[in-house]
Amino acid sequence: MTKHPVEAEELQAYLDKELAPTRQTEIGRHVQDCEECSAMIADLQKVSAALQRWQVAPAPANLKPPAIPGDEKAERGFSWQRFAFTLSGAVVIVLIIAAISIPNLLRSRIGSNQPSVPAGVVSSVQIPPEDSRLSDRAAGGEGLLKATISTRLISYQVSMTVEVEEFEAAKNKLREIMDAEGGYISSSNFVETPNQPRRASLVLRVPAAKLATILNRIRELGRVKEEHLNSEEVTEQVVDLEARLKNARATEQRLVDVLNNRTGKVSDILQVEQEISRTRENIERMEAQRQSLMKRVEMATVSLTLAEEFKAELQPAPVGTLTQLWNALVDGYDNFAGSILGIAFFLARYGLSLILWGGIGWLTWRAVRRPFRRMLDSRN
Amino acid sequence: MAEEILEDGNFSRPSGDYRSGKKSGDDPLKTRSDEELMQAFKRGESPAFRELFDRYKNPIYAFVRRRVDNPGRAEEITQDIFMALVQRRNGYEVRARFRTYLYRIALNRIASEHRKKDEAVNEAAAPTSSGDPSIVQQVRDALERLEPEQKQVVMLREYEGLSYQEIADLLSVPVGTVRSRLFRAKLALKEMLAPALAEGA
Repeated sequence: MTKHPVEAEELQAYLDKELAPTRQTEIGRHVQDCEECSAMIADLQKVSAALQRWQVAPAPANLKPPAIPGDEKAERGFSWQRFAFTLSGAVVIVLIIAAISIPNLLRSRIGSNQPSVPAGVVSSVQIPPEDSRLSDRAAGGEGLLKATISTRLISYQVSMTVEVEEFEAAKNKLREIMDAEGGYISSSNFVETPNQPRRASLVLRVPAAKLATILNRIRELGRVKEEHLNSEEVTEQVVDLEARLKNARATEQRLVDVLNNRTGKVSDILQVEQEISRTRENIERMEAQRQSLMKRVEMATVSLTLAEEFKAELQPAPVGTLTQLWNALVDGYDNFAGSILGIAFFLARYGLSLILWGGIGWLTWRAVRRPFRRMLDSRN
Repeated sequence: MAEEILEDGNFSRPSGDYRSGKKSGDDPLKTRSDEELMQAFKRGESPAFRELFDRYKNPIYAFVRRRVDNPGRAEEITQDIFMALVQRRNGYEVRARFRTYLYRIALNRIASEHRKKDEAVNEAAAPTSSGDPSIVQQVRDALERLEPEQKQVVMLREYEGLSYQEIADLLSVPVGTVRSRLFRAKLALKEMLAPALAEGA
């Protein structure tokens, strides 16, 4: 090879046109003259030609460019990610607006524990405030007449029906109230029939001064179904009685005087004594009447009906397959509706938190994903 | 159309074909160089990437196909290579030639594929024992028998059509080394293929 002005490997480079232009022409000239070199070039070309026989099929038509991250919009017309984003964004905005504009809606829970008052049922009766006059009157005594002229004497009658859950407990509680407030149960009727709610009719006498307090405590026993209050003014009756009593006493006094001065016949005396005893009888009757009236004013009457809450006992009748199937369907529907409601409640309760934490999680994942992939790549 | 595909499949001189070969005046993308397109893609222009993909899907597929026997696997690996290009777009530097960058990714991917597979299975599976080997089979057998460095260089030159400089950059060796390896590979191949060459002639 020393006789050649070219190195052998330059011939390949010459073929590949990888030499400097001047060198390229030099070798071109030499090859034309040198048989050995041109033979070598021919061989090299043959090898190349042989290599070129190995061809492979072009890439399959279904070879698609890989998705470019951050370019999903261009790749797909509809993006679930975008859709979810828009949706949650809208939800957040709506919630924020709602939270700002109607805070009461969000803050107040709908109370389900408070007793609902059925329409049309008198829930409370206005009781005149416990004034001192009542207590004065209750005290009774000689100054009463004076008082009754300037004030009014009123007797109260209340009737109410209360529905209670625990019948016995309510009765015991009622006794406690009576003992504590100075009232008493003047009569009590208790009826129990099978398969019927128990009922007790009670007549209570309570100090008029404490009527309002006691009624409130009775209302707490259960649900008030009915409540009526009657008041009867007895002032005139009392005044009338007092006047007649006064007259009768004066008459009695005069008769006693006549008897003491007895100047007439025995028959006259007897007649006077008869008259005295008749007058005294009158006085006693009127006195009793007055006492009774005053008692009515002093102690109000409460007619109370305690009713047990009705608990119907179901008598399960044998059911057919169709009925069972129907019931199963109904149960299924209930469950279905219940689960949807459950999801709604869950979302209402935790939806905001979920959006918050989901967003944070998603951002974290985005931040972590790239370094993680790089790590995998570098391992490969 | 068929001719065009064949042309695409034959990359002995792809540089001419892919740079200026197919100009369609309306589309500015077609007229831009690989490097310009890659820069555009780095800035976020995804159409630029699709243009690159169109230009290189056949060369890369052929590159893989000549090194991996299973066509389905070859397709997956091709996809992987372009995926890696997408992921590593920020690692691309202005000075680098795009082809060098792309083929380095491809070479790495093939290397990892061969590491994964049992080498015995992969290499010995090459059918060396077929009774009446065609010229193509003889070429493939001869390539397999070359030293790996020589095989690498000769394939990159003959099939991928890379310049000496590009091969040198790709393999991180001097250009002179590329030249000598190529020449020695050719000589070895000449010896191995002598009977077939005589027949063919």
